[in-house]
Amino acid sequence: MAPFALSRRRLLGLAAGAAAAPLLSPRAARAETRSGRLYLSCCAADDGQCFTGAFTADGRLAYRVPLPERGHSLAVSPDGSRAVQFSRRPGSFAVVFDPRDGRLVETLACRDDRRFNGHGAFAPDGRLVYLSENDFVAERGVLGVYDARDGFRRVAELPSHGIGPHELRLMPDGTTLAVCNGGIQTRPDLPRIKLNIPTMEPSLAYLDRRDGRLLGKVHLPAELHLASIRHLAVRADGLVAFAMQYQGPRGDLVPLVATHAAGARAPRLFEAPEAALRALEGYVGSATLDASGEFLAVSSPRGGAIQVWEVESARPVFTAAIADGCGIAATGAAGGFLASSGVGGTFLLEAVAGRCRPVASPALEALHWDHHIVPAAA
Amino acid sequence: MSRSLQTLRRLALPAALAAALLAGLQAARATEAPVSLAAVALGEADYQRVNDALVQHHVVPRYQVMAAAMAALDAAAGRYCAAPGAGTLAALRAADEAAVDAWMGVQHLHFGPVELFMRSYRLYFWPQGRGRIAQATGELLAAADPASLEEQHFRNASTAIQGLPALEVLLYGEGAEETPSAFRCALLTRIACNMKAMAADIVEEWQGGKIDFARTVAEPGPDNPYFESAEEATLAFFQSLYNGLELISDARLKPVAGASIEKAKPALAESRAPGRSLRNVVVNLEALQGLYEGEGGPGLGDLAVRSGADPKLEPLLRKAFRLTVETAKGIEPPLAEAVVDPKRRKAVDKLLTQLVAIKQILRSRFSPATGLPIGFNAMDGD
Repeated sequence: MAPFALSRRRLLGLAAGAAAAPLLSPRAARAETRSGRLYLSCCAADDGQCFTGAFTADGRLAYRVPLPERGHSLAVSPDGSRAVQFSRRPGSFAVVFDPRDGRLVETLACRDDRRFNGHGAFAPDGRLVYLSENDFVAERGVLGVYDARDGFRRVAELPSHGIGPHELRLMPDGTTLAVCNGGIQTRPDLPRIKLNIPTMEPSLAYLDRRDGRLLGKVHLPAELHLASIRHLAVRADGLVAFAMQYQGPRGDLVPLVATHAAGARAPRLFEAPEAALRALEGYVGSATLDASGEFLAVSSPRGGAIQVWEVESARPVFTAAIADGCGIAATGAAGGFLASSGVGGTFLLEAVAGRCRPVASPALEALHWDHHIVPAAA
Repeated sequence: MSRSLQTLRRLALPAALAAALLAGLQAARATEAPVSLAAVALGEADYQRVNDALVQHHVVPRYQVMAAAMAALDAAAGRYCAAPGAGTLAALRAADEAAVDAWMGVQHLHFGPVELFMRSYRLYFWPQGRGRIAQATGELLAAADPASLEEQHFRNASTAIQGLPALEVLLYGEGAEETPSAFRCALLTRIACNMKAMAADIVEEWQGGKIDFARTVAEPGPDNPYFESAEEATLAFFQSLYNGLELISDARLKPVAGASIEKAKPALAESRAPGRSLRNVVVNLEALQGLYEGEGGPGLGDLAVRSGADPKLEPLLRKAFRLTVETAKGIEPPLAEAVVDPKRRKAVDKLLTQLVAIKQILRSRFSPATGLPIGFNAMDGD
């Protein structure tokens, strides 16, 4: 077994000791989920112990699910009965739990010759879940397909049609998966080292989740081949908003946010103004659309900024300064977002009013929040 | 024995280390937090002073050493190709060693002219896919197409064939000891000449010319495309230090050492043919030590002193660097053998633990004391 892989026994051992610590009563947690008010995000305590934390927008911590190592993003089944916490790249485990109360259901280990890249998406019926994975032997990206009704057994594999697949989302048609192929080759024995920067070719690939067939592929202009496409958000009408992480020289001002309308040949790059590009310091850590679909929030933990863009005009409308801010999720209101910080704590943004206020919560402030926030009810 | 000395003794004890350090650091944070908040009063002038000194005494001199080494390498390649033989080959290999040393002494400096035109990848693309450089170099030799070595063409060719790793293949790989073909010699001299030009350009752009990166560091501000503040430029140096340590542990040592002696992978050692795996580590580490201590002017450590937030921090880090360099120098080369020899491996494990410890001190104490952030998400690449 590869040095970084966790043994199945260790995973199960951890799972056995991993009764979620409920902080709201299970009944209260369930009520919060039903009303769509519970959010999930990986986090770490000061001592480095990692959890999936479930919390409300007003700062109550519902429960914590212990994780063996640092996690990344999550996917929640359409019926809201299962959540999968993916491990951080190059990850070798995923933890399945009931997001309504934090009860642990299953842990899954990665195949020895693959590594998890931290994201995944459920099929509309909640049966299959697709995980972005690195086939580091063949140096290609794949999506591992797992069956939720069969103990999350790995039942198939699809090509991601690029190197380094990261975030993926199901399109509104229910059969198309949109996958960000970051373009960067890595391997588990050099966990965080990028092996092919000079030749990287990032893409946004659309594929048929039933057979893996490539349906379309979007590239950036050649001069932006160093902009790694990592994260995306999908609107009900099929518009895809995606965000990049630039691997070129510091000081280069390049667009890091773009949208792609179904059927369009080229993406629309959010290219101006300069100050907005500069605030992102070449790096976007997550991207989320608001409830109305008119506003797109992107985060730059490096720039300490959460930026909200108006999708229609491709103009920034609001920037909030949040140190190491990265996780973002839509709240119910137009232009409303919940954001989290790696330093600790969460924030509520109202882009239209141009307001950002920290959520007063000792429990949430005591935790370092990781890259992504996902609503507990899909 | 003073308490800080006791802490340092613990540095050498792998098992107890992480827990001891963590426990100690958290206690220190809890009790010293009010003091440190009051004491962190570093201003732009403090950062600027360190930045200017580092450019003048650390960055520019080290790039000048590299430019001279590359020029000497180019000359040695010319002499070898004019009269191939054991003597000129030995001289060329020695010049190559000096050039690699010079690169290892600047590899941590990830920003500035070296970032432009893919220079760092063209000079030293490592690590990359298995055997890719040997394969690309082999293909180039097999095709023997003179047009591929035309200057303009070569500069834009694959990074795999342009730099020091490709030269290593030519100097130590298959056919290295045989009388070279005209094409092999032309390739040798093209690589050397191309690197000489890049190294000279880097020195020039740090000191003036169109880009004048020293001025970019000296004059931060809202219109400066690289640094809005002096603190931002210092942060770039701090990231060089932190990422430099991480590259040594995560790329140069851990993959080779593996999780245990049974899982060691000697074949993954860097620069194995010329037997330089450990030498690269030592030169890297000494460069990072120079960045921390300063080399004839203040280094990053000066900020820990000036902040006054954590009086024991600067001497602790200084000593930690010294001990870590000592450990690295104390490992009997080559690394590929040391990792599978139960006796010598202990020193490799100790070095890894010490690297982790320095990073831990930088994160938990240096970062809060100097106001230079290492974000949970910000340094991540996800």
